[in-house]
Amino acid sequence: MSDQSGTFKELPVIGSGPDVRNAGGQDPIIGIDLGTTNSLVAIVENGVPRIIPSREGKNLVPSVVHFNADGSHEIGDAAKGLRARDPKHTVYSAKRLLGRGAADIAPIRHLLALDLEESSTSNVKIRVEGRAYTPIEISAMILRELKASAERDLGRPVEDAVVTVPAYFNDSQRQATRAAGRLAGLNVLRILNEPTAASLAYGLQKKKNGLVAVFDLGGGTFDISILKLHEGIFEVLATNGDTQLGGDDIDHAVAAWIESELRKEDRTASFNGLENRAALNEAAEELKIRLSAESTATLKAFGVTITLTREKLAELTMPVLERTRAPIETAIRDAGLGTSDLSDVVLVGGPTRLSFVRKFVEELFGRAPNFSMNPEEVVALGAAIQADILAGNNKDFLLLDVVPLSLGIETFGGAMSRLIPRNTRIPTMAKERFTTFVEGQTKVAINVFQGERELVAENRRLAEFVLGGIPPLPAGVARIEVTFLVDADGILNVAAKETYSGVEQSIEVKPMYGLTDEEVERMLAAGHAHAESDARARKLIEAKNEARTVLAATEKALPEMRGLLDPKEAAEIENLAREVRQSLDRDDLDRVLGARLALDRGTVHMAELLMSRTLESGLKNKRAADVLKKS
Amino acid sequence: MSSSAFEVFNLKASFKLDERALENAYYEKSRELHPDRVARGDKSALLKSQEKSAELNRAYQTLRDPEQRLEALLRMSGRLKDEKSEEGREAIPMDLAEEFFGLQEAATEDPAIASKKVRAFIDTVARSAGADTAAIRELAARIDWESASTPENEALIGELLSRRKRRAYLLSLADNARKLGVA
Ligand SMILES: Nc1ncnc2c1ncn2[C@@H]1O[C@H](COP(=O)(O)OP(=O)(O)OP(=O)(O)O)[C@@H](O)[C@H]1O
Ligand SMILES: [Mg+2]
Repeated sequence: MSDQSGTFKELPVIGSGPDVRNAGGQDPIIGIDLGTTNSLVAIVENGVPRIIPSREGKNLVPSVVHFNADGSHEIGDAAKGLRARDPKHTVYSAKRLLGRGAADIAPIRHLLALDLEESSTSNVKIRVEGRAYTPIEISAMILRELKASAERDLGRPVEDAVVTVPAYFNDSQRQATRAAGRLAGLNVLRILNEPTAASLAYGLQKKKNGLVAVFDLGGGTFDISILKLHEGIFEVLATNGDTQLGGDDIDHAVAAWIESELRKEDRTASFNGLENRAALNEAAEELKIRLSAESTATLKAFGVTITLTREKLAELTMPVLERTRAPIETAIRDAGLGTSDLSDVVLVGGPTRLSFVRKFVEELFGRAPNFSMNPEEVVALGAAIQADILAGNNKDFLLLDVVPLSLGIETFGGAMSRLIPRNTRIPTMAKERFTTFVEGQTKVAINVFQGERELVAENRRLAEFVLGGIPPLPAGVARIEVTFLVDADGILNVAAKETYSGVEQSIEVKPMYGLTDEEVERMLAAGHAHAESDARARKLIEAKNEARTVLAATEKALPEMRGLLDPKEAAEIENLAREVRQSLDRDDLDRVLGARLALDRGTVHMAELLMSRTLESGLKNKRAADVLKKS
Repeated sequence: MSSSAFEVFNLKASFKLDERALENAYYEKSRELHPDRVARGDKSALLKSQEKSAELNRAYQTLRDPEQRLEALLRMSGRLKDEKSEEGREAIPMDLAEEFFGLQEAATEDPAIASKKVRAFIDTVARSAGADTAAIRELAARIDWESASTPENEALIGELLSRRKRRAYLLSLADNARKLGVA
């Protein structure tokens, strides 16, 4: 055992304040639900998952970022509160833009109260005061905040995380999520599907075997997953969804209705522009949420009193709900089941708090859905359970997931040749042979697509892989074997080998809307700037922990040893202890380290006395603090 | 060479299969091989687990689906390519083929009347293909795939292949009939 700080992890810890609760084991892995509307972070302790509260003491952190004039920003409730008042500097629903190009978001663009910068070749960006942010950067800010909450709560640095995504997220969206994690200083050990995460929390609570459907209608995305639960195995049989469907769309429908009501008062009124859109959406959401508890809701918007009944809201919402029908039917069919085979339907997502949403689900599945779990927290709790599995603490549970969308390449005439069909279990691998068409050809380009349509033009192009370094050979002689691997994150990896000559291939990836090289570079550079402050923050947390440990040990030993100490010495130790206590209130690394060292030195004599009282001889030559800790 | 689906599960080559036992074996092996088990391990452990796990997943998906399972058996005994040869040509149902050509003509003359007939035709063809599927599976279960080259097995495989050929033809007839348009 060395004397350096950091060894405290292996030592038995004195005291049980919240800050050292988790010390003693491996580094923790947190579970994060990065939501369109709300984000949460959770952890499992001794097999029990719990949500970690935010800076403001809340479980839910609104996924909203507000930028101040001085370049600083706030996140969560503080930012959400400013959304209506200062929409130009407030970014929300960034998840709807993650990994998406201009064409992807065309259908919803006019509804968002965001100033977007679009290009056909890269991810859409959000403009705030002349600076364009990628949705990855915005997501990273939210993740950073959650990471900080976890570190504050656990009293130790946190790096490893499981981050959830909608099951129906495609490859670009998953990659973008992972990039956001990296940018936030997180080591994303797993990208986990949200409904699958929910099933883990459900399984932990119910401990039942059976066939379960998870209906997850969130703020901006809809997922349906069909799972088989069997003795701790969570096997996804099929999944489907719509990544542009959620509570936001209910708000937009209500906002359109409010607009028409307002026009009845003033025919010429116009509600375009960021401020108006933001105000309309805000009013719509408030009415909607109130109607989950009341049958009529009234508020003043644009100086006019608006009254909405639950019946009217149900009517406005129906077209949104109807859009869940086809994905649900497909998922059940793909699972090889009928609705009557299901033993339970689990509800996830804020909008499932509305009674008519539950009724819709009940009619669709022919059974009353289960809402015994908090629909907004269950995904984060599940992410924490998966984190616990990855940490090796839970050997009873295992998730077996699938790829949500078919993956293929272009063949003659623009047809899609499916290499990996949707709902294939992951990890999965497919091999395909390619050759050259021209003598001396040294490069082959392969376009990879994702989607269910027969023509590649109607599917989404994920990336172009350029295989280089093919030895010059006559046309058709080269044998290039390409391996497509979809990993447990549902993300595609490609490797290639020329088998005729045995030459390894270099692969250059040109993602479509994921990340351009230029973006990656810029982000990594920005990441380095953060790295330094991260390292300092980490050191500070570690130093404070060590100091707390020594302090607790001293406070425990002093009363017992007082009789054996000179009163002056005892008073000196008390002074040193007070200095350590005070240093803990400041974020001054040097001061914390200095105070702790002084206390270490000042307690050497007391530790020796303590040691001589102990029968254990193995404690000789230990640092005073170590002895104190063992006492 | 990668292992056959049967080898992955330490099973003898056979069409008959205990689905429950297969599922349990799959779960058990997944618990051992899944990348979750080495999430914090080094890169090579992760790669290896991904490869093993992918192989397991593919083998499971092959075995649990009767059609894919049969194809694997035919491939293993070198008989899958025979299907593309001329063998079993006599299996083509001439009566249905002629009926289709008749429909094709009728469709150009009066689409409305043809539409009804087309639907009835598709039903007949589908039923006939369904009977083939049942026969194919029954034959597959009788074949000893471990020693496929005995005369008795050869005869059964020959019959199975010609049934498969017939079915494939029927399915393409149904597809083409659908393209004639059902209003
Ligand atoms: N009581 C309520 N009644 C109706 N809708 C509600 C209620 N509470 C929250 N919502 C709505 O739920 C949505 C947010 O739900 P949730 O927090 O589950 O989404 P998310 O996880 O952020 O989004 P996603 O999963 O799509 O990324 C918002 O549209 C919000 O207006
Ligand atoms: Mg959600």
